[in-house]
Amino acid sequence: MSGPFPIYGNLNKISTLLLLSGLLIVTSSPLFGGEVVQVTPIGFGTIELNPAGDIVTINAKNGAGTPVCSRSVVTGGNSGKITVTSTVPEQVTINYPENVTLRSGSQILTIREIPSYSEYSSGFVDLPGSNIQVEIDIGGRLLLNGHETTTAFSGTMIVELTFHIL
Amino acid sequence: MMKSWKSRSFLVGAALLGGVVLSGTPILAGDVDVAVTATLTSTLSETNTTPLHFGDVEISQGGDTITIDASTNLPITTTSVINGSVVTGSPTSGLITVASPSAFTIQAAYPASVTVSDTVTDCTLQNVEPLSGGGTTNGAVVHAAGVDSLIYVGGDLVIPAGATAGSYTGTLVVTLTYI
Repeated sequence: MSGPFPIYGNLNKISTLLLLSGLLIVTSSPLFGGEVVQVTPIGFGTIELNPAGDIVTINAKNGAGTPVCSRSVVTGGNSGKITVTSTVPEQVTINYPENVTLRSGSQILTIREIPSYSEYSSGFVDLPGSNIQVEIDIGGRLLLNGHETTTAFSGTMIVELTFHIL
Repeated sequence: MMKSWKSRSFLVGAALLGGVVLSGTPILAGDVDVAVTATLTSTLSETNTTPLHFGDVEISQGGDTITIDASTNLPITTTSVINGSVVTGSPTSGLITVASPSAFTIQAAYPASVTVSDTVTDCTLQNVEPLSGGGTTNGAVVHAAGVDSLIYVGGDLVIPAGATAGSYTGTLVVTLTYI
């Protein structure tokens, strides 16, 4: 006979508490989970192929970069970028592939040393929370021997992100 | 007692659920697909700008060897002869032009000999490598980015005794290696 639900008594109180508890847990997942808000493709630009070969490097180890080569001519291009955010403080660890294959028909190119030329390949990214965005820049190296077919190549790099609650 | 038991049960359940959340790091993992592109082009060109031309030869009896010496990799319009033949008709070294916006070094490889014929008589073009630019003997040509490289070609044209009068032609294949 206590409270507003005299018929169900204590059992009703427990059910209400369980319901509230479940509600808290269900709604807490989006709060803890980080989010990828934008992905920018990696472009090695348009490369005037040096017949003697060359290495085209995008160094994004310390931030965004553009393609650089020693003796070829490259126009355009940019490092890749993954923008992440979270509502509460979190840490993100990143697992880059070592290589990525680009294709044009049966022709292939290989982007190498991706972790060495990308941000946060070791350690983690700190997300301060409050929907503040953090950028992760991605680079790599393209080795050319000078005999490649002159055409447009494309591929997909799969980057694994793991969000950790602080 | 019943009330007390149910309350404890709930508290235990809540603690377990809370434990799942707190100890669940990492709580979210996933793959992100990042597109990667590169476009290769080439405007490299190799052109036989000028043919190797030994001019009009008034041949001496017993034949002769006509020489165009382009070993300095400069344009040559003069010849030297061994047996006193007379050369007119604007002889000139051959010229290969290489154009590219990229920088590299060009190494030219020449055949040991080439037949030059009027379909009746065969003459022989030889010593091309030591008498031309860009080869092993006279050194590779450094190609600066965006500046045309010029490779001048010479050689010895050996004309046998009794060569018939006529127009002699042949093809010299030069292999360029970029290093």
